[in-house]
Amino acid sequence: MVMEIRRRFARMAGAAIVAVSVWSLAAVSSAQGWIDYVDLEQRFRINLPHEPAVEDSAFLGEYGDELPVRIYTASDGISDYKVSVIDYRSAGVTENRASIAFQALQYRRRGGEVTHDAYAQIDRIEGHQLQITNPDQSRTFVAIHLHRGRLYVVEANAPPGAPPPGLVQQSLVMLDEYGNHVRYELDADGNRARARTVEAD
Amino acid sequence: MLLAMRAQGEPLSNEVVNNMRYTAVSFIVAFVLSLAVPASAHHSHANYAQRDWVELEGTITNVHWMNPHVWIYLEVMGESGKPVVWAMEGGSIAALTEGGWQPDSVQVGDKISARCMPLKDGSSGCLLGYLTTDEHEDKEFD
Repeated sequence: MVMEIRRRFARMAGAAIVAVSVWSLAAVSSAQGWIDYVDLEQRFRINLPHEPAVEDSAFLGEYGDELPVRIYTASDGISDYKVSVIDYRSAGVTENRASIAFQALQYRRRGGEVTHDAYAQIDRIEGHQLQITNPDQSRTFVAIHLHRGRLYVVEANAPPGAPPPGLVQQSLVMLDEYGNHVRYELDADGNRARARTVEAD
Repeated sequence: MLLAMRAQGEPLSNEVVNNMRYTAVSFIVAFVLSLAVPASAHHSHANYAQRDWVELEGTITNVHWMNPHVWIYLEVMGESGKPVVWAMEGGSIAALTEGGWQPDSVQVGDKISARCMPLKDGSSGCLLGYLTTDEHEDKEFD
């Protein structure tokens, strides 16, 4: 009897937590036509001007692994945005750990003047950011972050004279399996633990 | 089941009561955590020159009142005499609300001034910073 009650309470508690999670996501509303796009399967959120077009493809990793990639594209009529989620979960440790540097290298090789090229973190999830002024004076802002075997590559392209596209570059949020915002505490050696305090959104 | 147990006159054991208390506390903690404000910034700011400040004055052309950051687009007169739109990154909705800002505090067409830290790449973007509006004088927008 006690075990049955305990199981029922466990289910109720789980339902309550899921309800809170759904409430949290519902509180994220769109503004000025932009949306906070959520992909629970790929476990991320990002600001985009509208629902993106989604396409599945393959990406050749640095060590020769062919990796699945899901590509999301959108445009606000002035600037273009692209998010690629490369699935490294089947790849080895070195391939995973090298993925950020390898992806950054691809952008450096594209040409243009690299005006920002630095380590970055979002919610203590480590990665790299680049900002490139292209030969036609358009600007490309990039954010690359690896989380739980998925490499998230955010690319925003603004034409000459347009405001810099930092909004999309800076808006990536990782989610857990329940859709909750993931944030870590991080020490200087790279050890991390899930943070207990997260953003109210 | 609990109601059935009570209806049958069966007393609740301490273990069952403790389970109920634990579940209630878990729910409250989960809810409170979902309302908590950020412990620190959502992301690193290496792309901004954090020891430099620019002062801007112009007209708001767009406001993105969204998480994880609220953005304001401000059209200012550039040095060349042509208007330039600046993209200004603010704090999260929770942080701004906590600081006394509301979605209607900054609206398209408003004339405001701002103090912010510019992007290192020289493009027209910056990290807020402080705003002066009709309602507020040099008030933090982060």
